[in-house]
Amino acid sequence: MSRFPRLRRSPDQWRDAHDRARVRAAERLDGPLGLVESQWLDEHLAGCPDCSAVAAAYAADREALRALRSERPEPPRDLWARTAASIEQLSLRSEGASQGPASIDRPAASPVGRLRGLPLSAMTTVAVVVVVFGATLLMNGSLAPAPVGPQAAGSPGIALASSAAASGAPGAEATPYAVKTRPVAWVDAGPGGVSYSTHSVEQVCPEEGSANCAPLPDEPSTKLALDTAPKTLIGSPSSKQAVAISKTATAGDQVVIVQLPDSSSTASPSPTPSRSATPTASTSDAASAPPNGSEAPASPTPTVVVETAAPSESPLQTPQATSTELAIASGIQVVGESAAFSADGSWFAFTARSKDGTGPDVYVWRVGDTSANRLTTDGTSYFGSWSGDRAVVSRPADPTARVSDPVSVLIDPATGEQQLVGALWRPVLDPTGRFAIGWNGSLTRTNDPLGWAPSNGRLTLRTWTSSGDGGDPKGSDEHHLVADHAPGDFDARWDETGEWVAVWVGNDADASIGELTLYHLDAKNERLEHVKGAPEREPALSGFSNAGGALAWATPRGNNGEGSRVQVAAWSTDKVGIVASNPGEDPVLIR
Amino acid sequence: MVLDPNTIDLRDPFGRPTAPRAERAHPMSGVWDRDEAAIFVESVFGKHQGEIYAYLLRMMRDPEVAADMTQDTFIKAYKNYASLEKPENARAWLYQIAHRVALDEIRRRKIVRFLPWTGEARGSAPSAEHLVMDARLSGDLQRALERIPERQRAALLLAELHDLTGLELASALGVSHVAARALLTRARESLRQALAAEREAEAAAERTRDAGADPGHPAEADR
Repeated sequence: MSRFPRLRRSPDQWRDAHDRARVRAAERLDGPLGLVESQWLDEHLAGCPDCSAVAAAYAADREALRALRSERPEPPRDLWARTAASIEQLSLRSEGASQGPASIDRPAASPVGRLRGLPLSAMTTVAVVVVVFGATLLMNGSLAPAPVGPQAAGSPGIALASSAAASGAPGAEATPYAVKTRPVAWVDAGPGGVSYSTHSVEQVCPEEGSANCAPLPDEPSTKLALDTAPKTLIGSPSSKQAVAISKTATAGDQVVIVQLPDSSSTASPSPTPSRSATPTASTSDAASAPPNGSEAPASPTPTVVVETAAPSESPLQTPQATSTELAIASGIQVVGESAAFSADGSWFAFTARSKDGTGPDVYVWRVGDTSANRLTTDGTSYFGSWSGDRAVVSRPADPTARVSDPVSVLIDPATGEQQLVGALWRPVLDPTGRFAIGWNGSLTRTNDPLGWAPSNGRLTLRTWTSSGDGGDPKGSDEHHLVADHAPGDFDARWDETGEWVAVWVGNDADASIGELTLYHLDAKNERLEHVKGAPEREPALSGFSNAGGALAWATPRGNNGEGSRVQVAAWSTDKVGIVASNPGEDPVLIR
Repeated sequence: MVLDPNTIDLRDPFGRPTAPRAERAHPMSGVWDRDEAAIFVESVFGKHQGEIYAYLLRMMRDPEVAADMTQDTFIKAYKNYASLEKPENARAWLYQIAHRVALDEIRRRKIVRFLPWTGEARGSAPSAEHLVMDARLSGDLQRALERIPERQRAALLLAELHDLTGLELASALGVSHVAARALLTRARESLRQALAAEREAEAAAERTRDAGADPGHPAEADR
């Protein structure tokens, strides 16, 4: 029986015949291959004992796995009672908080009365468990705490509830430790518009206990003169301005320069009382709250920064960017996540398709100009990164083929002069120009959207020289591998020291999310290292910042409807700690 | 409950609905009927709790953790009831939630990388039930499974032990059809290599024992 429809993969995408045979042998276990592939595979296996052994091993492993089917572990007998009690408690709490439609026309029923249809054995334990769950959920802070009646008061939390248990081993409390202050900035889209806020990360928790770490305190925010939340924001390294890339409803993407508020005005407390119930008082007070969040039940879940802004109530919080907003490109479609300022902040480059759908091409904007200009016109170019004041641009070597090796060139945006720098696709150079992270492999043409995407190869660290790609670093393979498969997209950002690089590998099904990993570069041994506690394949929305000893990114929305959080990993010489913001409305980090 | 057979609940790999939020409103004008949700969750709990628990146990190898996570899965199902558009997708949908719960937990604790496989996940003495589990699930295969990346492990478990079909598997893993198949293919290769490594390590240990080595220096005796 076929588990999957047949996959079409052209023969020229294989590393070699053995690679093809092994993949096909594995695939054949999940469904029949096409006739041609099937015959080819049989012929190959007949003449290749190694591949034949691999195919036999796949089949044997599969049988061994299937033999485990006979084991049917029994869940604990009180599992439904626990679950039902939690659900009931949730239901009571939401109704108490919202008086929503579901509670209309119904008397204030007792928990047992409301849980009609529960197994009798389950109901007998409900009354006991309700109390425990209410308390532990509050402690975990995963739900908006609200008064839930007498049961919740004074009940000691026992780690029975799933949420608490699932978010970390019971008792694994976080012990925060101080780090040198790291500023992190992001914008939030809220009902009142797009708000900008800066946060000072002063303490973090070890990764093991980070789920229970006290969240970053909310800070007052400042409205930005943007109509819609940008999907991407890239800060200039040399001034308080940023490039915002926003999707418009009808006319494609717009690339706008915005002036960021002076951090001194946003960091200071709001002169008017905050409308949020969250105390915004002193950072140190909030940061020294117990790491298990046990103070949280005293107030509702802290709201996101946009709600602390009080438009037109304070001069500090009126839009500041109106006069300086400048659209440098519109009607285009920005492609990928590689847009960046040059190191000295004098140039900005990005990849986009033009209004008429041609492209992708690389666009550059010289700071001070009124608009961005198209740097390439071949319709197959992608911006990789900056090498000094020259843009590294990658394109397929043979744009007429369906599958092609890439080629990269350095282009001087002022003169258009080009220099060939090898076959690494979209290399992202470190500040020293000695290393790059890029796609080492072939590209395949994509139809929707039109363009080129990684096909067969690996995302790796490579050495780099003044003449371009310098080949594999020394050291073993695993120490320079970032991804062994074709990513939907990727975004690598080095910090200013060149010692830390964060790589976001986009999911191939959804371009907006991916996995983020922080590496330390051991330059002497030319290898990437993973430091314990550092983010490793963390789910992350596209767009992150990596500077000043901190990596900040936004998590995808939770399965339970919880908003995105900004997570910050801050490192010192020997360790990495983590802290998260309260859930918010799709925060966008300023890169 | 009004169910619209034309809509499909598709989620991205991290559990986010792929449709914009505005389009996901429950067909009943956003009214979220809690009683209905509770009844629904009770019915799917009765049908699927065993397999969801078994999956989480196979992923986490700790009965207590698996029980907590099973509970969490069904609570999340209750909270996200409005996002399930087709009741016939409930099984894959539950696996999808359970899969996310498991990955979140693994990510938090990095249990795979930082805790020894044979150890007790919570640092306490292993329960009797746990010891029985260990006896049943121990061996090369289980250790090898533990060595491969968690998403690959999940793909193998769901496909081979939980018998999810291609669409269900893709939905549970939160990836495209093609990506699910590719993941499964990579998983088979990873498992083969991990098993080979396990067997090699076991053979080496056996040679050491046969040589009557000093337990304090097993590796040297092997050389």
